[in-house]
Amino acid sequence: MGVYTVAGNGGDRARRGPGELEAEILALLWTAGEPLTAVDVQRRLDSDLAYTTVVTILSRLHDKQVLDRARSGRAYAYEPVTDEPGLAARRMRQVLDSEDDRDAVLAQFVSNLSNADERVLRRLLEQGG
Amino acid sequence: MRIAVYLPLILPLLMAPFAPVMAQRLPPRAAVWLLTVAAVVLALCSAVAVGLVVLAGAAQVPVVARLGHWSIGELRHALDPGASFIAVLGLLVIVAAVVAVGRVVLRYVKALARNRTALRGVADDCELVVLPDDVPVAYALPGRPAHVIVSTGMLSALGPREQRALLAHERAHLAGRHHLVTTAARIAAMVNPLLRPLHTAVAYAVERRADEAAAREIGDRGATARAIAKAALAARNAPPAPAPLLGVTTGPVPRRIMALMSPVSGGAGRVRGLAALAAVGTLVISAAATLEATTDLHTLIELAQAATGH
Repeated sequence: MGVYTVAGNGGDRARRGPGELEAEILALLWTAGEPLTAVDVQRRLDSDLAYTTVVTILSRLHDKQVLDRARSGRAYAYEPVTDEPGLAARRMRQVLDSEDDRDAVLAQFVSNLSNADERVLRRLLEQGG
Repeated sequence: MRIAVYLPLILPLLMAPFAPVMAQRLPPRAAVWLLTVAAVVLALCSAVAVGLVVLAGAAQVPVVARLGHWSIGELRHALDPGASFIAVLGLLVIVAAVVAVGRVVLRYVKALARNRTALRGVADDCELVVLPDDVPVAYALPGRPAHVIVSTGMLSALGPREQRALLAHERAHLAGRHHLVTTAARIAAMVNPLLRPLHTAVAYAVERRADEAAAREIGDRGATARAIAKAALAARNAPPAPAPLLGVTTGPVPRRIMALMSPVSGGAGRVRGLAALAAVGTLVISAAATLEATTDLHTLIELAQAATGH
């Protein structure tokens, strides 16, 4: 991706709630594959957040015990807390394996694809890069 | 009573062909509202219609007639000969519908509870819950607090901006209370199965609405479209693979992507107008027929009462 948001939609940014920013940063840390400092996070984020905002959100997530942190030079490096045996994930998997539950939470981001759909999507992605 | 009472039952046929058009062409917000209101009103009219048929049958039961002080003979004279048979049929339909709806609601409540239990101990005060699981899933779990649940398998299929689009999409579902909307449409379709196309259209319109909200929030329609495409492909390749659909036609996911990639359409106003007109027209006819049938039965019973001298 590596493309950064063009400044100018700062107005939108102001309207975004803290929950949204937390979610964005948490998602980023989960896919980073390594502990990240606030500077790393700020650089990799899609949004152009102020450094202090990133630090605030990181320490809030740490307070909520969603992130672990360790000293890395003069800063902290953060990574997501995993419950070791992945119990929650396994429980959720079981829940989602049942048809009823999948219907109930609906709002699956995407529904099933037909073979034709898959071809269409692949073509679209190739075109759009 | 004779014809009017059956009209609400078959009128959804008039609207069904327009439902997909409306979901696709109307602005998503308008589509969600119009389709949901239409489904609920048409279902209510259907329910009242069946209720009237049952009442007309019940009114011919001697005990009921004696309690209400009306003449059965007079009533039978005015009603169709098959009215009692149809009333029994209507009663069976009502019982079946109540049982079916009750089961769906119960299942829904139980499923939400199971989801909550499974999440226990996982960051209650954080809106986003990330599951360390390679199977790509993403969904919104309504309730208090509401959660967006995403697996690492899903996140790793997406770039940072696409992740934002995904999160914004799920958040839009929660903010718009889309689970209530789709459940209402689903129940409507159980009350009158002819409303099924409306349920499907509502489910699609709700996804479109969340897509547009996400595109607006991150200010990038292309990235939102890519997020949907990548997520759909990732979910397809995941074990256990979802059962392939039977249809050869293009499914809802490519249509959502096309809608995001095509410029916001100002044209096709005539199609939209026609679809909206069909919807409103169907609603008006259905409501009028239901009202007509209700007053009709009321008048009939009053006449039958007058015949006994009361």
